[in-house]
Amino acid sequence: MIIGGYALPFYGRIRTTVAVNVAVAIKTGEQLNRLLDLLQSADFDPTIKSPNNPLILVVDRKEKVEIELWLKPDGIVFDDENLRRRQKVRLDANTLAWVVSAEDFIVNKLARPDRGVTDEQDVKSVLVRQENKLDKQYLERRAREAGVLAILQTIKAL
Amino acid sequence: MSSDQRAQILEAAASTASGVRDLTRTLKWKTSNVVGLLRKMNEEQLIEIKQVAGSKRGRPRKSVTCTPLGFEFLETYRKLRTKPLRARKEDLDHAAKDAAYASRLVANGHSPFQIFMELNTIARNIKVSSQTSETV
Repeated sequence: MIIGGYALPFYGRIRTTVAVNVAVAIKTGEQLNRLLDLLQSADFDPTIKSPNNPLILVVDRKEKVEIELWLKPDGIVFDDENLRRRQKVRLDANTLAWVVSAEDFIVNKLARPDRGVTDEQDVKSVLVRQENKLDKQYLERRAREAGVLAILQTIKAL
Repeated sequence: MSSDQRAQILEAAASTASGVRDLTRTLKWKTSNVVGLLRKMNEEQLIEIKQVAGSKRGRPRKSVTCTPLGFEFLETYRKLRTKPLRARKEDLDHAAKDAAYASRLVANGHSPFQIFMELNTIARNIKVSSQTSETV
């Protein structure tokens, strides 16, 4: 499912971004190999490819775009609830894709070890635009589990 | 199992080489909970549980130590906990205004993702052309 800047326009503000971030629930080396084969057959070039590494970098040879595949995205727990809450969205006339839920998007942004001003602004924009649509209990629980509840409450209050 | 619980166990294990009983006493949690959490963290390679050679009487004593991955987890957790808000109030106000603008676009029947893609393409083209002119 899509996470990060490409998921943002569905929930918050509209801003430019370079990186395409995708969360992939892969647990075994076999699953990883299958994904890598699929990517290579579609003209994508995976660079770092270990199941122990939380991130796989993939270069789209045709479009020259870099895609980050996150096996362990910060603050996101791949479980039934997380997958049930993701949203199916239309990217263009022919493409449908899964996008992380607004609540998990917020927690992922705040749990980044390199969290910066832009991430906090993204979170604020989602809190504002999704004000009445967010599942506040779920958001608080996930934020608490990721250790970012205090920062979330600060952003909410400001 | 939350990051907070993991960090509390790692903090306790890192401060002294502890046995399961010492950890239960320090954390003031139920023994069954602590044992379950330790088993999970051992699987995650955040801690190492070793049997301690010593007294031959009673149940063998086990010591819990932090692994390098455990120390790394703890360090990142501490950084996150202490990391203050980076954005200023004006930055967040600006983001709130942007969000209101996106809401208006949706209300008027526009697709925010389509607008985002158009904006992103323009920005990418500018970047590519500036890189090309630098090379020339």
